Amino acid sequence: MTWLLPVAGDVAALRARIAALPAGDASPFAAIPGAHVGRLVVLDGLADPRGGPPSGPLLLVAVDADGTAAGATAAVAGRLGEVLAHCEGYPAAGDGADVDRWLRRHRVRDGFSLRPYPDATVEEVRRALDVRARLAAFAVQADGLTPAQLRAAFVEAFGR
Amino acid sequence: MGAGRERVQPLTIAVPIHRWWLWWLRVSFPLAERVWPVNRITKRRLLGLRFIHFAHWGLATRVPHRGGRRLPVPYVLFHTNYNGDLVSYVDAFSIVVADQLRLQLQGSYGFPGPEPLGPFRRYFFEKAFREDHFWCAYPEASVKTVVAGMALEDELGRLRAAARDGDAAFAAGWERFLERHAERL
Repeated sequence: MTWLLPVAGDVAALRARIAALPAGDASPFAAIPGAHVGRLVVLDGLADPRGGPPSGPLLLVAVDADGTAAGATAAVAGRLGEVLAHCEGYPAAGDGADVDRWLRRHRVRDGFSLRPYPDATVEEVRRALDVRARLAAFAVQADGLTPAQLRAAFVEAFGR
Repeated sequence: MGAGRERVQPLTIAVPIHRWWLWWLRVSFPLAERVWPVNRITKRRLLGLRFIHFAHWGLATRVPHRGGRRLPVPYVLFHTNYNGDLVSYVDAFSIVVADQLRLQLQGSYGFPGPEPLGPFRRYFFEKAFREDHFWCAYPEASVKTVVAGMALEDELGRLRAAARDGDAAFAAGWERFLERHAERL
């Protein structure tokens, strides 16, 4: 899902707020249930190729998450409020429903998308990666073992 | 951008297009997304590149999108996550899906065509934005390792079954597994 939001006021303050976000497992995107990827991009201005002034500044927020659009919208509203508060019309005094409505107005629907593993949840992806890594490690360990040792090592590593 | 060691990289670009081209994209995007066999042909070729985790194309015409002020020209917003280096990514689009690039970007301002590669790279990079924050749930993964892992999960069940049949059966099953799937490990 993608949202394009006009920045209110000082872009530097927004950039500083985003720069202060923790990375890795502490990123606010990591707290969005079922999130695969997320990004925040400050667009200083969308250039007008006809020579007019650029449009912006704008904030692009995008997240790929399992589940429904409503769920992702609510999660973004809940986790990124301090960033979204730098954008025009953010309902700071409103409740979650107000923020949801505000975000829905700014959503840019994907016209065309590619997903090489479209039905896999983030947990399924992580499990698949774990299985591959463990099998690769086992293949190295298994080299030169007798059939009995091989089977015993496999059962110990992967169970029956 | 993600840290250099991370294998999943983000890319975000905004391409200004002529207003008349907007109507073509409003027709062709849903066709390519949903209508068989157009979607199958279009997506198969792009997914065949095997380095795109996610990629989304959208059309921005107003801000806010619903009921907001009209932008001077429409923009194609493209954001993606990929493995490898960016120049290879852009070149692969130019070479492998050149016709699809034309169908998507022919009506953009200053589109030089997918080839030669140099002008197309410049056109592409000029429209790219630096990500201020990027997060991925599996940053070290490549598309190939994810897809391979999914295939190997099915095989793991067969190996467990073979392990219940004794040492010789498991050793034979393991040999077959390596013959078929060594490249996925």
